[in-house]
Amino acid sequence: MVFLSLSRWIRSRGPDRYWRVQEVLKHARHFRGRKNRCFRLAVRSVRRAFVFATKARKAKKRIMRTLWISRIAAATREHGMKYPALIHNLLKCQVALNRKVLSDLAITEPRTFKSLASLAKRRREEGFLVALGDKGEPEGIFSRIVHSQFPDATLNPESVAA
Amino acid sequence: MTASVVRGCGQLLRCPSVFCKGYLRPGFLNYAALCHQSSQPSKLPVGYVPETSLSKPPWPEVKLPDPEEEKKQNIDVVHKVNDLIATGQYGRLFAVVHFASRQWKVTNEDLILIENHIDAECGERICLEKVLLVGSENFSLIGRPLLGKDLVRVEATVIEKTECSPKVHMVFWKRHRFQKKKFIVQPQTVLRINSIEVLPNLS
Amino acid sequence: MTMASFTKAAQQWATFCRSWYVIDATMQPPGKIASICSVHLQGKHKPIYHALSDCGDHVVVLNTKHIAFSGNKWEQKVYSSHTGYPGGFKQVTAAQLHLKDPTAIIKLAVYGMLPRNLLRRTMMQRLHIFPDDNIPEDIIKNITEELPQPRIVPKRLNEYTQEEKESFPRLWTMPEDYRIK
Repeated sequence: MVFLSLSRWIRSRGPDRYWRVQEVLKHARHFRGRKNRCFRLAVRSVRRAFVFATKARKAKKRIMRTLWISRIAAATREHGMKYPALIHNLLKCQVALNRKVLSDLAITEPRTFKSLASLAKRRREEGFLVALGDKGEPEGIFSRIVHSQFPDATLNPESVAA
Repeated sequence: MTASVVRGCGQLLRCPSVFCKGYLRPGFLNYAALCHQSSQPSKLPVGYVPETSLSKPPWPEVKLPDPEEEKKQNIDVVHKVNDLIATGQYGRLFAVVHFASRQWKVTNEDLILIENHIDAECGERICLEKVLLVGSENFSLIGRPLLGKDLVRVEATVIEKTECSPKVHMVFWKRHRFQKKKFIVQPQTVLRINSIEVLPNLS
Repeated sequence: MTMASFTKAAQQWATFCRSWYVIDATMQPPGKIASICSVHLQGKHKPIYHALSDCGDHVVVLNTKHIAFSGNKWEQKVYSSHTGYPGGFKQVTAAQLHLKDPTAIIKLAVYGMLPRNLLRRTMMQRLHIFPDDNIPEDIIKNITEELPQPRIVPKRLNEYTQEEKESFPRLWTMPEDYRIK
């Protein structure tokens, strides 16, 4: 449309109704039923479709992440560990691979994944030994487990006195 | 900086093919046989205590290998991998690179699509420096978190800079006369991975 | 690859083939058995898992007659159903249901643990439950792997030797004139 004066431009109410309708119907042509040709019905379903598309783009990220996690969990269990143990210990080893890459590796590069799993396993064992500490029992506690496992474990003086 | 692992050349079929013959466990029904055994007197040593839930700690026993031996083994592994790299005895390499805030598992001749504009012209050759992992058939080098620039070099060419197809961003609240509609068009860049090179500088 | 028999095609077939697992339910909690079964029926134990790709395996459960509920679940756990007719609400305890059909408890537990979608019935068809260890020859033939049991089967008192019983640590020794009621 050509507006020869400002007043004409203000009076005009956008583009032709026909083109506005086509703009909506363009997105509805593949719909089923009258929705693909009647504007009144099409405009609602197109709007719904756009809202769904917007939400789905966000949801996809979440869905993919859960899929990666379940894949990594499956691959980790093949190596005798659980998912949280793998992720936590890779983090402790400063391996910064994300879940997408880890699940890709689990599928296409099983040997690399195995070496990652063994790295995490080793880190886990080391951490576990550190957590066990120096084989003694905490102060004021008599532990039968400590004594059965380490017969020569030093008794702390208090428990001896008691 | 770097952890390296040499893997054995085992058959890697996902599917377990071992036919397990012992799937019928002797259940508790054959206790008659065990009772019969017990009638024969056999002396146990004095002070013998049978195994109970308290004879062992509830956690699995952890035994780390000897640190001296392990150190030697690690040096061997590093030598071996360096030899493999120096003599070029690796097949096709793959690498995990961090680029455009995403991680990509790439190999030679790969095309990767980046949902953003990058600061290089079409046809320019760029070097992807954040390499997290390089792997081949017989070894994988795992960066903690990155591999050094003297160890790996991943090069790529910018092939195409374009825009994505328009995506609709629409928000709509029913019964509130509220709706927002916006068409989003993002710049895109296509990269071709030209080469992944490893150098025998593992330490 | 160095191995002569290794081909990509064989790897492809092996990756997507359906394998058959067997698990022995003797003295095992039904819920634990069911969760293992549901993971393997859905294919969630494979790194190639996808909900739509139907990559689940077959699972054979043996000896469901000898499952072990903990607590007083045999009396207290109630299975409810409705026939659809007026007054058709049925409730049976676990013990009654188990007497009627020794496979039903495991079957219901697995069915409840599978995702509620169109693949649920298909996955249930890949679950083969047997009350004892008499299984048809054609199913034995398919079995590839045994799954570990979730619980250690406890040893009965009459399975211990006399020496082991005698040398078991005691809190107190019974006086000779102690009357056992």
